[in-house]
Amino acid sequence: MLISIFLQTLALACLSLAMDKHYNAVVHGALATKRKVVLRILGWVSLLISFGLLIAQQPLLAIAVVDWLAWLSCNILLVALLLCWKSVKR
Amino acid sequence: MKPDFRKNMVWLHTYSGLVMGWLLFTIFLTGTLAYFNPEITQWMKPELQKVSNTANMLNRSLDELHARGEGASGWSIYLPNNRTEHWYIQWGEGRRNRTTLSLGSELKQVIEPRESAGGNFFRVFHYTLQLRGYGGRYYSGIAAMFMLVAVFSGIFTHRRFFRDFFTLRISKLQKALTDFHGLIGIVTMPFCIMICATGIMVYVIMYMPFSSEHYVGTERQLSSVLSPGLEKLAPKAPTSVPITNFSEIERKIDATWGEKQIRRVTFEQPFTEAGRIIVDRIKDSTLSRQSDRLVFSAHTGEPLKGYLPASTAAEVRRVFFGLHEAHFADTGLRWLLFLLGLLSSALIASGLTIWLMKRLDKVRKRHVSHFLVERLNIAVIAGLPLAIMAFFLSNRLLPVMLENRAEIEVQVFLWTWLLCFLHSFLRQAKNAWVEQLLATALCCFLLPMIDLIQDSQRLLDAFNQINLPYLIFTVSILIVGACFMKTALWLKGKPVSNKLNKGSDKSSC
Repeated sequence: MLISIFLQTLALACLSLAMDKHYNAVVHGALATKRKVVLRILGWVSLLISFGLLIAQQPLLAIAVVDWLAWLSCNILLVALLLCWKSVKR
Repeated sequence: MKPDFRKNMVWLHTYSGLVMGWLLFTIFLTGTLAYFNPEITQWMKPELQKVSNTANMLNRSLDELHARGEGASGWSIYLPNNRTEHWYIQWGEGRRNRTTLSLGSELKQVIEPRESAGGNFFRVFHYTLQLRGYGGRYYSGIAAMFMLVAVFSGIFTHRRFFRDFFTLRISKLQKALTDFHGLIGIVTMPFCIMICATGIMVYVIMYMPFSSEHYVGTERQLSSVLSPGLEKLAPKAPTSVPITNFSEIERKIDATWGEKQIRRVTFEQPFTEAGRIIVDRIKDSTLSRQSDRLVFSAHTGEPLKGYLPASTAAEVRRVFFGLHEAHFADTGLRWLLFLLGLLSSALIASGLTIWLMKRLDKVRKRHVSHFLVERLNIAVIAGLPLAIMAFFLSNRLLPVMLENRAEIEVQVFLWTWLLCFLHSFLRQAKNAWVEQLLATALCCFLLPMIDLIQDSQRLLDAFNQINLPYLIFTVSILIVGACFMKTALWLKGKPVSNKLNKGSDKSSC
């Protein structure tokens, strides 16, 4: 469960870094196209894995989906707050 | 000229949000609290102590019912679970005329919890608005529709939906607030859609009476056609005696469901030959509102024919209902949903504040509607939490033996809220904000203190027994108080010159 959630956070972080604006705010530099693609793939794949992990743990598929979506919402907020904090610190 | 789609959507978003915003905020905040309905009740009835879930519970309940409920047409046993320590039995005639008795963990021990509206008040209030019989449930249904409209039009209102994903800029207040609104909108969108759609589904038969009129006659008849119950038992004179030992049935249940899966046991007409026992399973393992049920004979304990499967439409509605109530959620998911509920309330609150800020920035002279929106914002966004805290305070301060205590608690809630309205109209906007927020914070800090002074044993007991609902409630109240305090102080420190009456409280909803 915890691994799955952490993976989800990581996935969202990757996806956000694949956006020029956020990449720039964190790494200070332009985002190369290749890296962008890698980050995107990494993000989506780990999202899928986190979903798979949660399903494997929770006996009921329906509840697992609710669980995953609820965590997804909160993780989006978390990543946004982290990015905001990062850009303020600069 | 081609109508401008986006402009129309912005208009729709603005005004559907504005018209229903205050009602929606109220419904969302109280509904969010209703996620912790039994836990709040546990706190509001501190007489309920930790009951260790022993195997003998059902038999003890049965003994009490035999001793007290002789000849009654219905008996029920409600077992405690990990969310509440309330273990009680009921007996009597029909649904209304029932006597309730709460049991304690020691033999023959009977507990008399104080009369209190409990967490159930929030559950009932968030859809009836205390106006049951006056169209309360229709208002909340309409509000849910408006919320759906606002959510969908909101997608088009925020132009750069995907480009601004994960973005929150806090350089300027208004910008921060707009970003916050957009971000929270994205975060809570699945939640809001789920909650509003399922909320409408709960009373869908009532909101659309035409189909039931067309097919079967009345709304109630439609429900019973869709989800058939057991055949009716005619009340007869007592002819036989119900079982005195539940262990045999419990063994059978454990074999089918596994251990500790019983939520409620209901006896129908226990003193007739045809009397039966209906056992409800706990709702941990199903999305549906209706958990599994087993039926036994009250006389012999033999299994009887169970419920017929409900129609697909009824099943769908049950799942929607179950999703709305989230009885299946374990503690982690419940907190997540609670958080999402708070965020949705903050979404609505920030939307209302943005509407006002944007307009006050531009206009030279205020219109009366600006004044009205400003005051309603204060009275609802700051006033409602204050009223809720007053409700909690009244639970501790009213004399325990007072008659109609539960009703008076609700009265306190409503009167405090009315006072907040008056106060917001009488004071300067900024002062009103600060004062109401501070008052709420003060109440939050007072509440655990009063609790401690009244009976310090309670807290000690809670510590010793690891009564989690009680402890977490106390800690949460203190945290909420700190958030309100911080918001109020921050607002106080802001210069009045920009004449904005800022009030969204990000952290404290």
